[in-house]
Amino acid sequence: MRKTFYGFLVVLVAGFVFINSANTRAAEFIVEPLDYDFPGEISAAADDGKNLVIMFHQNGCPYCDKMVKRVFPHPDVSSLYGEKFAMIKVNVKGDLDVITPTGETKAEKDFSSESLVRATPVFIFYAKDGKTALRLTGYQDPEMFVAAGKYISEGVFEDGTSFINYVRNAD
Amino acid sequence: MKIEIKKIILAMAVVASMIFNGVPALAEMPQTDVDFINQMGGNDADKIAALEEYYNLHVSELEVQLITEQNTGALLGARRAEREGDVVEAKRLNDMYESTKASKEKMVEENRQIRKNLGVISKIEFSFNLVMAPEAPQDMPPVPAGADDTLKEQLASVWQDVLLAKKNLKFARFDMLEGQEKYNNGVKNIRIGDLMRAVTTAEIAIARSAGDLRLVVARMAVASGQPLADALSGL
Repeated sequence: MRKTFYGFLVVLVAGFVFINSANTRAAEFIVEPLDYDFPGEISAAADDGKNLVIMFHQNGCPYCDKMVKRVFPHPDVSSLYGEKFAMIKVNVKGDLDVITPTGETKAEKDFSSESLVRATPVFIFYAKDGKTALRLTGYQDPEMFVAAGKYISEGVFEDGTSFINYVRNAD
Repeated sequence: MKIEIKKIILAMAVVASMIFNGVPALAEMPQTDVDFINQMGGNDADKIAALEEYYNLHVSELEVQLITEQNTGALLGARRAEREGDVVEAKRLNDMYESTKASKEKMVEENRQIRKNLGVISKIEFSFNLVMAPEAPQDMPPVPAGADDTLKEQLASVWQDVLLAKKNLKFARFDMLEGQEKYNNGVKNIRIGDLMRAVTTAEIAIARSAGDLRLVVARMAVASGQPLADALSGL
C-alpha cells in the first residue's frame, strides 16, 4: 500500500516536472540574474554567442502582459530568441539595485528614468560589445519581434541600416 | 506517525506544484485548430460546431485584451490630464475609464460564456487562455471538387476580408514603427498607446477573418469527404 502511494506520487511529480519544463521552454530566453550586473550579463551572453535584451516593464501594463502571454511563447519567437538572445526584465518602478550597462549602480527605477523609458514595454538590444544596437518602444507583434531579432542577430545594425528601413526593405 | 507526516508533506508538494505550474500546461493546450480537432472526439458536425466557437474564443481573447488596453489607457490619460490641470480632458478620460470598465466586465463575461459553451461542445476544458490566434494563409485556398456554390461564394467573400485585414495590420505595424521611432527620438505628442491599440484592433480583424476562412475550408472538407485536420493543416 505504501509502495503504491509513493509510486503514484513519483509519477505525479515527474509528470508535473515534465509539464513545467514544457511550459517554461517557450520563454527560456528570459534570464533571472542574481545580481543584475548588466555588463557581466552582456559579456556572458556574448560568450554564448547571444545578445542581451533588456525589457523595461511595469505591473498593470497590458502591453507587457500581451508580450509575455502571446508573443514570447510564439514558436517563431521562442526559437530565434532561445538560440540568439538572453532577456532580462527591469521593473521601471522597482527599487532593486542594478549595475547599468555603463557600469553605474542604480535602482531599477533610476536606470529606467535615465534610459528615458516613458511608456512600457521598452526593449533595448545590446551589441556584444555592450553598445546599444536597437531600442523598441511598445508592443511588438510576433512578426515584428522576430524581425528585430534578425536585425540584431544577423548583424544588420552594424552597417548603420536603421530598423525601420530594414523592415521596409524586407517587406 | 512519521510516515503520515511524510505523506502530508509530499501531498502538499504535489498540490503546490499543481498550483504554481498551472494545469494544464501550455504545451498541452490546443492552441491551434488542428491540435483542437485532433484532441476532440465526436462526428464532423460536432467538430464544425466546436470549431466555430473555438475561433470565436480566439477573437474574444483579443477583444478582452483590447478593452483592457483602452481601460488602462483612459486611466493613465486621466491621471496625466489631472497633473496638467486639464479638467475637461480629465473628466472625458475618467468617463471613458468608467465606460470601458463596464464594457470590460461584459466582455469578460461573454468570454467566459464562449469558453463554457466550447467546453460543452468539445468536452475539452478550456480553463486557459488561447494565445495563438489562427493564421491566415498566404494564398486563397483551392476549392475542392464537389464544393457547392454557397461555400464557394463564402470562400471568395471571406478571402476579401482576409486580404483587407492583412493590409490593415501591415499599416498598423508601420504606423507603430514610425511612431516609436519618433517617440524614441524625443518627438512629443506621439500617442504610442493609440498606436498599440490600433495594432490590437488589426489583430482582432485578422483573427476574425482567418477564423471565418478556416471555418469555410472546414465545411468544404466535410462536404467533400476530406479529413478536417488535413484540410486545416494544409492552410
